Formats: sequence, C-alpha cells, structure tokens
Amino acid sequence: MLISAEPGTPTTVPGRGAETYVVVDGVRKVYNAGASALEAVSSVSFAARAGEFVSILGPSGCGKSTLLMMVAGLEPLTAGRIDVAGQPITGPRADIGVIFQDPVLLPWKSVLDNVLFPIHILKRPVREYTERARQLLDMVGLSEFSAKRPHQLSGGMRQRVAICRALVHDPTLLLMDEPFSALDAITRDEMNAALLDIWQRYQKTVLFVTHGIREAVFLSDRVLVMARRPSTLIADVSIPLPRPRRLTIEETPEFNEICALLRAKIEESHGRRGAS
Amino acid sequence: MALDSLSTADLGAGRLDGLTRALKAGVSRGWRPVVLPIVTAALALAAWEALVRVRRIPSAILPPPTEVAQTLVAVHGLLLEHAWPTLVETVAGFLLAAVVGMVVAIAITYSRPIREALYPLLVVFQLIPKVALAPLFIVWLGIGTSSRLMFALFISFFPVVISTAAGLIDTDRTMIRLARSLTANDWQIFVNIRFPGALPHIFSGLKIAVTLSIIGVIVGEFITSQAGLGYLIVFATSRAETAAIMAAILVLCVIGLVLYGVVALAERVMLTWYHGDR
Repeated sequence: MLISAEPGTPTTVPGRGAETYVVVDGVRKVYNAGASALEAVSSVSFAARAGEFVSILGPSGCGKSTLLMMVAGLEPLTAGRIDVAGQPITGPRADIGVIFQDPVLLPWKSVLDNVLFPIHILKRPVREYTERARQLLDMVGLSEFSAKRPHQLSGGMRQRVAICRALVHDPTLLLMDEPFSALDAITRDEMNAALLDIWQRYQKTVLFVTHGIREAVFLSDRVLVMARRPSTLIADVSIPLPRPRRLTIEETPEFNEICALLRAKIEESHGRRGAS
Repeated sequence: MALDSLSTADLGAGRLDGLTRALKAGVSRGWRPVVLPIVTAALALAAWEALVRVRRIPSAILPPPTEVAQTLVAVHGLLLEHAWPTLVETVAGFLLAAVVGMVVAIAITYSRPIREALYPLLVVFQLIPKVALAPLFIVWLGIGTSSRLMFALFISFFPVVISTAAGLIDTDRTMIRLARSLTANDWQIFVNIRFPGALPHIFSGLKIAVTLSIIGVIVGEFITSQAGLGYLIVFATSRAETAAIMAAILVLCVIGLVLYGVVALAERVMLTWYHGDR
C-alpha cells in the first residue's frame, strides 16, 4: 500500500531499520497564551526509524519548522512528548545535528574552523576531529577550500560546509530545515544528490522539512504531509522508489505519480478548509 | 527593539568612514588624490602669508604661517612638556570609556530591565551638548587630573555604549540558534558569536570616542588647569601670543591624528582577521 490510512501510526509504515528512533507524540505548540494565542502546531504524532529519511512537507506557515525546532530542543513544547533514541527531549543535545535554511557560517573563521565549530563548543579535542572534518570537506568536494573564508564560497558551497559542520560531531539524527530553499534549482538538485550520498554513507536518521514536493519525493523513504489551520499531519506516504536514486528518477512515471498523489493530498486539505 | 534602530552614523561614524575610504581610494588611484590636497594646502598657506604681509595685519591678530613655524621650533620644548599631560589624559579617558562603555553595553544586551531603564536616558544624554556639563565636573571633582579624566570618559563613553550594544544585539538570530543547538551556553555564545560579530560596530564607536576624548580633555584644560595644551592655549591668549596659540593647535592636531590613526590601524588589523586575506 502506498499510503497508510491514518497519519501517526508509524508502526504500520515500512521503514528501513527495525528500531524506532524518533517518537513525536501528541506535540502541540501555542505561542502567547490567552486571547492572542496562536496555535503553531496542533497535535502532531509520528515516528521515524533509525536510518530512515523522513520529509515533512507542507506550505509555508504550516508549523513544520516549529515542529523541527521542537525536536531539536530549541523550542519548548506546549503539550506532548518527543523522544530521540529513547530519551525525552528537554533541550538541545549533542546527538542531534541541525541544518538551517541559512548556512550561518562564522565569517571570521576559515571553512575548516567552521566545520570544527561544534567540536569547539562541545569542548572535544579539536585535533582528533580535524582529520574527520577534512574527510567531510573532501566528500563534498571542498577539500581545496578548507582555508578559505565563507564569503569566498558560493551559496551551494556554503550550505555544503554547513552539512559538514552538522556531521562533524557524529550526531545520529540530522534535522534539516528547508536547507536548500535559498538555492537555485540546478544547485538544489546537485545538493539533493549529494545529500543522498552522504545519508547512504553515514546512515543517519534524517528529518527534512521542505515545501518542495519533488525534493521530498526524491530524497525520502517517507513523506509526512502537513496542513495549515489546524497544523497537523494529513498524510503519511511511503516512497517505494529504489535506491540508490539518481536525478534521472525524476523523469519516471512512478516518480511523477507519487508527486501527483502528494499534490492531491495537499489540495484536498485546502479544499476541506475552503468548504468548512 | 528600540536599540535595533540605533545607528552609529548618527554619531558621525559615517563621515569618518567616508574619509577613511577616500584616503584609501586616494592611495590606490595614483598620485593625483595625494598631491592635489597638498598643493591646495600649500596654496592656501601661501595666500595666507601674502595676505598678512601685503595688508600688514598685526601678528597678534593673524601671524603668518612662517611665524607660526618659527614659534613652533622656538618653543617646542614647552609645547612637548604641555602635550604630555594632554596626551596621557586623552588616552586614559579613552581607555576608561572603552572599558566602561563595553561593560554597560553588555549589561544592556543581556538584561532587559537594565536596557529598559538605561536606554531612554542614553538617548536623552546623546541630545545634550555634553561640553556644557564640563564645569560641573570641576565643581564635583576639583581642578586636578581626575575631573578632566572623568569628563573625557563621560563625553566619549556614549558612542562606545551605543555602537557596542547595537553590535551585540544585532547578532544573527540563526547563528545563536545554531550555537544553542550545539548545547552552547550564554558565555560560549558571547565569546564565539556575539562579541566577534560586534567588533566592526565596536570599532566604529571607538573611532568616535578617541576624537571626543581629546575634546573632553582640552575643554577641561580650558576651564582650569596648570598644564596641558588647552592651558597653554588659554595662557597664550591672555598674552595675545597668537602664533603660540596656533603652534599649540598644530600639536593638538598631530596628537588627534596619531590617536585616531592608531585606532583605525587596530580596526584594519581586526577587519583583516575578520574577513581573512582578500
């Protein structure tokens, strides 16, 4: 079955690993209690298995980024519970790496030092991790740029540095908040292909927030569709396309069929809102 | 946030930066931008010399440049003797203003109550012509070094506070989120992100502060003192020794330029570190 009947029933969803790694259970986020209260996320539940690539797809303002920031421990929950690796999230954790839409590199540090920034903050021995940082830069094709400053790199290169930085301290869960949405379409395709290589190689669990249907389908094992008002999950779609995937997969009928299905799901949620 | 709207340009940084840019551009564009101002100044001095000689203006009203130069050589010992306290007090007042200003800026950045309590007052003080308060410092602290030092601190402290606070508050929020996601504490965020990120702002405040500090010291010396170039100027005025006044002003210009140059050089070094070798 391509689409499971109800969202939030992860145990019935096929995943790669056997072990449930991320559990989001009845999570709600309300800003400003009282009359001016704004519900950013209303009751979201899902789970992701270890090593699974899960995208959260939705229109802007649907609360998907807020949800991701709650998993990162950067936003407190109003209600519900999030467990990562069996431990409830109470704040930021070293076993979670976050990649933002903006690469946010420190302009006064070299590319290599930017990649090593987490090691510095986590007070780990920088020398021991320098080799790993160089390998990561080599993997994304930036080994020649390790001594350069961020302003000397292109937007795509900077985001690659940010990915290396998110991997250097070897977190098990990667949270990506629309990381490629500021890039042009061609660069974004390259970045998606590079991301899949990295994911296959390092076997990380990934939660990837995006508003791009094709991007979500290309990358993911599963796509969770999120709607606005109320901001909940309305579909949980597995992507049965074979791996490793190349960009040419986007030309296949299967790929486009899934995209059409997701688009229909999103439009359905809009229609429901319009009717009510 | 009210502080977000702060701009160091209000304090004249824009003008000074423009000047720096112009000087840099001059160097890169060959001889003309360097030579033209020198020629203009030389022509102005020649016209001045000619005017005084032709119209026989008394030297007590307007001494010719040659006489100023002669006086400068003749009394250079006296000038240097009086330049020393002015220089020391200017540097000390500037350093105090830098330290106190940054500490207050950090307090404003990190404490909302302090920010809300202090910020409107800082704005009001920005609007007061602070030079007018100099006599009060004499009343409170006497005629010694301490009143001039405190006045120099007082007058040059505001640009440091305002530009440092603007820089610290202006930090990229996502950068702070990134550090937080890596379990960074407030101190790590300050040392690794906020402070280095604020350095360009801080230096534009310091460049203004150093020029204000020398004004503070001179005004203090004008009012009451037994030494310093300000004292020398007032003393020479009382004896109508206009050439000596101008010689003292010339020494003041040199001190001001050198101090500004030192801060601007430190800024260049910092910016090179900040952006790397281009």
